[in-house]
Amino acid sequence: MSSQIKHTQVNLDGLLEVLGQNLYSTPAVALRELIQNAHDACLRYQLEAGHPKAFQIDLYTDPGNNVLVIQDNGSGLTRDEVGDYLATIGSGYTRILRQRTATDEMIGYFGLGFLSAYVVADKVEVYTTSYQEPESTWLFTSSGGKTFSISESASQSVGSRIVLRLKAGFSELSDSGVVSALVRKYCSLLPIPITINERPEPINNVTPPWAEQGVSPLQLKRRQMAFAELFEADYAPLACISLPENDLDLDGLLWIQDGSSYVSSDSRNVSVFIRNMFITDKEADLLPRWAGFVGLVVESPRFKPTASRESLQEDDYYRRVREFIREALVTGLRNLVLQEPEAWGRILVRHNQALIGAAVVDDRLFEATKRSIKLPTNTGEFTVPQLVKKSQGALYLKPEVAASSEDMLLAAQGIPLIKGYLYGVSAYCQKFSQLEGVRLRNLGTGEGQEQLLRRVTVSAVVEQRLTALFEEPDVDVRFAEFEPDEVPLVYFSNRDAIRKNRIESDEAASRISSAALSLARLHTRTIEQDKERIVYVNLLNPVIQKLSSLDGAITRDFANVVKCCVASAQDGDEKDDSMVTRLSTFGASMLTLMEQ
Amino acid sequence: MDIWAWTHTKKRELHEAGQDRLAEIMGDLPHWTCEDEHERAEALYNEGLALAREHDEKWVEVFLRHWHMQSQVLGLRNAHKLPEVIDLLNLSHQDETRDCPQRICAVQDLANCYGIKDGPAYFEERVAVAEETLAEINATWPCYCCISVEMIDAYLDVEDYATALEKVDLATRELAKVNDEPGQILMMKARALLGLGRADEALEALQSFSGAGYGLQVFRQAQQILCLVHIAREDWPQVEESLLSFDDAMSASVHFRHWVQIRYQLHQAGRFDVTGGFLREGRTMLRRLEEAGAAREALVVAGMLAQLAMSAGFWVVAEIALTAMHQQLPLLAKDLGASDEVAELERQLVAMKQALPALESSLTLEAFYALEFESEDEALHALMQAYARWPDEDDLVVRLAAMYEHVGAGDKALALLAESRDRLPESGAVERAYGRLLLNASGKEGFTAACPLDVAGLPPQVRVARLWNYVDLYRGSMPQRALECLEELLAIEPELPAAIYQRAVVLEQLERYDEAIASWQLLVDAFPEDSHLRWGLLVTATLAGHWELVREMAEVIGFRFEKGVALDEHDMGIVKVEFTDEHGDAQRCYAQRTGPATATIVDICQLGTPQRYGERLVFDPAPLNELSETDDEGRPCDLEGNYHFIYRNLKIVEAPGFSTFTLDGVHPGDERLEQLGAQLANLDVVLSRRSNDQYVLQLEPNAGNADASSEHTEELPGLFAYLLVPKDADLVAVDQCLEAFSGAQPHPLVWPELLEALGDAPRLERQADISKRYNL
Repeated sequence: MSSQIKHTQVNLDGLLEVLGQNLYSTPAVALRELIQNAHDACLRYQLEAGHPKAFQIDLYTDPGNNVLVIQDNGSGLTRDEVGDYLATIGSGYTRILRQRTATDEMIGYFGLGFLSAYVVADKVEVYTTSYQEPESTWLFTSSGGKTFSISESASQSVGSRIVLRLKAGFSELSDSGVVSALVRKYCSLLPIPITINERPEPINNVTPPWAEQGVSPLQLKRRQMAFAELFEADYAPLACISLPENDLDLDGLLWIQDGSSYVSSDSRNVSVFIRNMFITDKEADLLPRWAGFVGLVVESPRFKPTASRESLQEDDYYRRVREFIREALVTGLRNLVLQEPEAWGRILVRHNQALIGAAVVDDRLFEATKRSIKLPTNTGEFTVPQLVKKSQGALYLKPEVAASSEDMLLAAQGIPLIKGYLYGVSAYCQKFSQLEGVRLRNLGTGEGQEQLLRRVTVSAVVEQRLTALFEEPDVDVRFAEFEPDEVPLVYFSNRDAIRKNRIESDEAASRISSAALSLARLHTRTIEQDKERIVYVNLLNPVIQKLSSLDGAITRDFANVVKCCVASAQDGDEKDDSMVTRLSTFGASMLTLMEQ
Repeated sequence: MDIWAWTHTKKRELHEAGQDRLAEIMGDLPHWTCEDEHERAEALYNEGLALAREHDEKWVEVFLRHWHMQSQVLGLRNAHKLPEVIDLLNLSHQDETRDCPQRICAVQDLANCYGIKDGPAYFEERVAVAEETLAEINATWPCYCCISVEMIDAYLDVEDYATALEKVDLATRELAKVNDEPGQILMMKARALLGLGRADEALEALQSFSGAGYGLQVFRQAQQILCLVHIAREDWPQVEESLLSFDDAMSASVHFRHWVQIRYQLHQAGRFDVTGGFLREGRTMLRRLEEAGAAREALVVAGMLAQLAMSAGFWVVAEIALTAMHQQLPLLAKDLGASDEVAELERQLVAMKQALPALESSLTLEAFYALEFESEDEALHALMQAYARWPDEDDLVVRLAAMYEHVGAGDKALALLAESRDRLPESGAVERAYGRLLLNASGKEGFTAACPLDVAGLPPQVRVARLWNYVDLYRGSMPQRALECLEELLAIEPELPAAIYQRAVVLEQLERYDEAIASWQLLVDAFPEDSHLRWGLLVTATLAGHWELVREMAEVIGFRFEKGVALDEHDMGIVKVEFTDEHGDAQRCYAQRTGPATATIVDICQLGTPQRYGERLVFDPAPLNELSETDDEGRPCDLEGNYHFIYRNLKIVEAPGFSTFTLDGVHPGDERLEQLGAQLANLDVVLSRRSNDQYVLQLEPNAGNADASSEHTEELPGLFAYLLVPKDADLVAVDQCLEAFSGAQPHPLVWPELLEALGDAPRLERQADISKRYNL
C-alpha cells in the first residue's frame, strides 16, 4: 500500500474555544496580546526603518457599539505580510525578526497572539499601512477567523488599527475603566506610551525603580514604596529591598507586606514581567516558601513563558533566579536589621511569628535575624539574647501547654518560659542552641529536672530521717537545693519508670505483639528506677531543715501536712507567685507550730 | 485498612469542626517529612501535638507522633528518640488506639530506631518484628511495603544479599496479587543485586522505579543507589550525572552514609580527589551522626573518612575520625569486628605520622614562632612537635590548644589545657585559655565546678587569670559580682589598665559614679591622648552631676560653652533619643541637646506610648546612626530619612511625668486657641495641636447648628490636640478651664479621657453625644 501525505484538518471553532477556555486563563489576555503586537510593530519599525520616531499606542472604546480599537504607529504590514502573518495561525513575524536581529526587546513568541482577537471578537478588522509602502493601506476583515478578506482601504498613516467588534460575553472590553485597569496591570512597564480615548496622559506612565537614574537613595526609597504599592492591592509595603546587580539580566523589587501574617500563612505576591510585559502573578514559588509576607516584581528577558504566556517554564534559569531572589531577600532583611531598625521593628510587629518558622528552615535568614526575632513566653515576647540574660544563660522551653512543677519553680525565679508548643518556637530554640551554643532546657524531661534542681548529698542521719518521712510506695526521694526556698518539696513524674512499668507489665503482653515488645524491653530493662514519681526535698527550706532535726511521731504528722499543702498548691490553678506566697505563709505557721 | 483514606476523612472532619489548623498540620507534617524538609516538619510538630491533645484526638496524636518519628528517626537518624518511640508503641496499643491503622507504623518506628542505633547487631530482632507485623497485615495495607523494606534492610545490613533478594521477590509477588507495585522495594532490590555483583540487573530494577509520589527523600535515596550502580558498572558520565550535592545530602542524615560511600568508591577507582573541603563536609556529616546516636553509621562513615583523609595526607582529620570511631565502640550493641578495624586504622595513622617531616633540631623557640605554614595540618603537626620539645612553654600550649579548637578538636584543646594546668600550675595564660574554653563548652556550671572562685593560695598570675574569667562570666548580668572580682584582681595587679577600665564601666552600671570617675581619671591620666577615655569620664561625670569635670573634659575634647549658662542648659540643637523597654522595643523622641551628653525631650509622644515630654536625661554620645545620605534638597540625613543624630538613653535624670489627654472638636480659630493655650499654661498644662488643615468635620444637618434651616452636611475645620497635664496638676481646674472655654464657643469641644479620669460619667455621656453629632 502506498503512503500519502495529507494536511491535518484544523477545526478553528474548537481551537478558539481551547484558546479561550484553556490556553488563556481570561479572555482579557487578548488585550495584552494585541498591545504586545502593537509594541513589537513599533520596535520593528525602529529596527528596520532606521530613523527615530515617537511611538505611541492608542486605545479607543465604544461601549454603545461594543467596540475596542487598538492603534499603533509602528511598522504596519504589506499586503503579503497581511496574508502571511494575520491569516496564518502560529506564524509570527516577531520570532523571525528576533532571530534575525538578535534583539531581546520584542515580546511575541508563538505567533498565536493575534488569534486571541477571535476569542473576544465576532468580527476583527485590521487597517494597516506598512512603512515599506506608505501609500497603500490594507483592510483585513475576518468574522470568527475561519474566512477572511483583504482589500485596499482609504489611505492612513503608517501603522495598524485593529477594530474588535466584541462578542456579547466580552463587552466589558469596550469599557474604558476596565481597559485602563487591564493596561495598568499588563503594560505598566512598557516603555511605549499607551493612551485611551485621546486622553493626553498615558495610562502606563510608571518608571520602575531599577530604571530610575540620578536620584538620591532617599528618593529611590520613596519611589520604591510607591512602585510596590501599585502591585500590592491587599497590603501596603512596609519596606522595600532592591534586587542587586546580577548576571541574570534580572531586575526587580522585593517588599515586605504590612498585613499581619499568621504562622505559615502564604500571601506571597509575585508579578513577573518579560521584556516589560506582564506575564503572570502565579509564580509565587520564585519567592521562598517561607516568605509568605513578601511581594516581588521581577522582570527579565530570559524567562521562558509557556505557550499561554501566563506562566513560566521551570528551567535552569528559573531555578537560578529563584536562588538569587532568596539570597537577595535574606541579605536585604539583614540590611534592614542593621541599617533600618525602625522599619525592621515594624516588620517584626507584623511578621515575627512567620519569621520564627522561616528562620527555622533557612540558615541564612536565621543568621540574619537571630538577635531580633522575639519568642513568645509566659511573660511576653523577648529576643533570645534578652531571654538568655533573664534566664541566666539558658533557654527554658516548655513543650506542652499543661502546667508543671517546673513552671512554678521557674516562674517564681522570674525566668520566662518559652512557649514551645507554638508554631516553630521549639524548632527555633533547638536551632539556636545548636548553632549558638546556648543551653536549652527542655522542661518535662528528666534531664531538665536535674539541671533545674541541684542534687546534694546529705548526712546518713538526715537522709534516713527525711526519706522515712517522704518516701512512699510509688515515690522516690531525692535531696536538692533549689529556689525559691519557700517551696519545701516538689513532685515530678518519672517518665523512665512509667515507661518501664508499662512496657514490662504483663498487661502489655496482651496488647503488644511479642517481638515488638521484646525489642522495646531491650531498652526498658536498662532503666533502673521503677517508682513513678520523684519528690525533690528542698534542703534550703526552713521547714525541711527543721524536720531534718526533729524526732518523734509528730514529725510524721508535720511531714504529712507539708505534703498535703504542697500537693494542693501544685494542683491549684492560681498564679505561681501567689502559690509561693501561700507556701511562705504556710512555712512560717508550720515553724511556729513545730517550735511549740 | 488504608491509612490515607482515614487521614483524608479525618482532615475533612477536623475542618468541619473548625479545627483547621490541626487539619492543616495533619497534611503538612507528612508532606514536609517526605520532602526532606525536616526543619519545617519539626516547626509544626509541637503545635500539632498540643492541638491534638487539646481536642482529645488520640488517633491524630498517634498519627502526628508517628510522622514525627519518621522525620526524626528515619530521616535524621536520631536514635535518641528511642524512649519516645517506645512511648508511641505503648500509646498506639491502647484500647482507644489499637484500631488506628498507624499502630503498625509505630512498630516500624521501633524497628527503625534499633536499626539506626546498630543495624547489624539487632538483625535478628528487627527481622522478628517485621515478620510478626507482616503476619498481622496483608499486601493491601500501605504499611506492607514499608515493613517489607525494613525487613530487607535488616538483611542488607548483615550483607545477606541472597536472602534480601528472596524477600524482595516474595513481597513483590504479594503486592502483585493485589495489583500493587513494589515501589520502594525496588530500591532494596537494586541494593541486594548490587551486593551480589549484578549491577546491570540493579540498574534495571531502579529504572523501573519512578519514585513519583514518594517525595524528595526517596528520590534522593534512589539517586544515590543509582550512583553506586553506575560506579559498579564503571559508567563514569552517568556517575557524574547522578551525584547528589552536599547541600541536598545535608537535608537528611539518611543520605550521609551513601554520600560518603560514593566518594570512597570513586576514590578507590581513582576518580575522586580528596580535598580539605570534602573532608570538612564529611566531618559535618559525621558529627551529625554522632550527635544523633547513630553509632554504627557514624562508625562506618568515620572509617571511610579516616581512610580517605590518610590517603591524601590529612592526618588531623584522620585522627579526628579515629577518635570518633573510638567513641562509637562502647555504644555498639555488638562489636562485629569494629574494634579490629579501628586498631588497623590506628596502626596506619601512627605509621603515617612517623613519616611526617620533623622540626629541625637546631630550631629555637623564637625561630619556630616565626615559621609560616601552608595548611592547618602542617601547622598542627609542627605545633605538636614544638610542644613535645618545649612542653613547659605556656604560650605554646595556648597556641596548640587554639589550633586544636580551630580544626574542630575542641575536646583535645580542653584536655591539653586541663593537663597543662596541672603541669604548669603557675601559668596565667593556660588558666585564662582553659577557663574561656570551658565557659564556652560547658557553660556556667561546668566552669564554676572546675574553676572555683576561691582563689586564695593560687599563684598570682593564675589568680588574675581566673578572676578575669569570672569577670567575663558576671559582667553582663551580675555587675556587683563582676566588681568584686575586679577589686580582687586589682589588689594583685593595681595598675592593670584593662581591669581599671572594666571597673569604671561596671561601677557606672552600678551607679557608683564617684568611684567610676576615680577609675576613669586614673586612665585619663595614664593615657592623656585617648579621647575615648575622656568621653567615658565625661559621661560618668555628667551622670554624677560633676559639672566642672564635665566642662574640663568637654573643653579638652573640643566643646566651647557660653559663659554663665549651666552645662546642661545649652542649646546644642535637636537630636533624637532612643529608649528601649524590657522587651527590646525602641521608642525614639526628639530632644533638645543641652550639653555634650545631656538632653531634654521636646517631643510630645503619641497616645499609647510612654509620655516623655520634658524628661531630662543623659545619653551615650556615640550616635546610633550616620548622616551619610542627602535628601532631595541636599540636607544630610541617614538611610531611614532621619535628619538628626540618634543617641541611646543612659539615664533619665528628671521625669516630670505628664498624663496625656485629648481635646477634639471644631477648631475655635487660631486666636482663641492661642488664648486657651495661655490659660492652660497657667495651670502648667501644655496644649499641643496634632491636627492640620486636612482635619475637617462633617456636621450633620441641624446638628449643633443654631440655623435649623440648614439641610446640608456642613464642613467645619477640626481641631485635635493633646493636653499634657503634670501628674500632680489639679484636674478639676483643668476641666473647669476647658468647660469655660468650650461653653463660650459656637461649637463645643470634647475631652473625654480627662472626664474619665475625673469619673464624671454624666458629662462623659454628654460628650459622647457631641462626638457622635460632629462625627469626631
